[in-house]
Amino acid sequence: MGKEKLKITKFIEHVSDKNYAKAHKYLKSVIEDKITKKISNATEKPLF
Amino acid sequence: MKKEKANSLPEQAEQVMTEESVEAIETAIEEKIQLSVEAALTNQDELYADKLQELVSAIDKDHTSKLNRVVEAVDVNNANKLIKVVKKYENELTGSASQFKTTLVESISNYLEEYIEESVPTEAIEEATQNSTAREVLFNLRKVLAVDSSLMSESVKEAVVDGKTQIDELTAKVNKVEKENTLLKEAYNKQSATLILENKTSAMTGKKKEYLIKILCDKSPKFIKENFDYTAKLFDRKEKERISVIKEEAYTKRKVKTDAPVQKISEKKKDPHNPYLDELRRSHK
Repeated sequence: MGKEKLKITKFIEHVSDKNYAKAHKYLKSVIEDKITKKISNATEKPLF
Repeated sequence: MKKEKANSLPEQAEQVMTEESVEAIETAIEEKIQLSVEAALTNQDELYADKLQELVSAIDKDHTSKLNRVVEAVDVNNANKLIKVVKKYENELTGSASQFKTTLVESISNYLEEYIEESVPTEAIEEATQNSTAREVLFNLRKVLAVDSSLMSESVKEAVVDGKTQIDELTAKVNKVEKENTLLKEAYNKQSATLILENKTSAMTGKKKEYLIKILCDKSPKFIKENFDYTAKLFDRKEKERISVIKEEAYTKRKVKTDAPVQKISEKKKDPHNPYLDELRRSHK
């Protein structure tokens, strides 16, 4: 969670500096992390 | 004026001096008086001017010190107020800004969560992962059970089920037979041990026989064969010890004693010759 917050903070910083390439990179990373977390949560659930 | 001046002179002087001389004297005196008055006035002026100067400077000093104090007090007051303002500003800037930052980050995070939930629902992700896991499990099962496409037909399936039933029945039978075999082996061993013990102890006395049967009755035939002699010897030794103890007791408790008197033989002890001790004695002498 701390890592995710840090990435969002970086994203805001880069958007403020109009450095959109870096901002895009951090936003992409945050979204990937969120989706990975969802998938791992779903995988942990028992099949039967 | 002139009359006043004339009156001021004594009568003898008026009789002696003429009016002109009197006037001249009066004029001279008036001039002198005027000069003296002017000088006195000038002196007074100077004195007063000096005093006034001192007074003004003293007042100036006093006012200056008072003003300085006032300025200092105002400065301190203003500085304190400014410090308070600065602190408040800093607090507002750091505290509120950090709170705003946290809120903003959380809002963005929540928004992203919502967006992802809308775009890719959790149910879809769960379904996909379950499908993938199920496929993997099925693949592993096929590997373990060696089921390929030929075994998937209905007729082969029946044969496999029949085979499994037969295997289960046979396994149950084998277990039952194994149990019976174990019980029979145990009974045989017991009988065999009893027989060996009976054979070996048939020629023995009652107590020894009882002892050996008590010790070896629950042992295996092999153990009895190996340890029978040792146990018998052990019993014999114990019996011997018991008898000797009884004999001793009887000997000590008897009433009539037939012991002969013991002759005391006194022997002179000879000092062993030790050259070292001899030398020591000689040196003491």
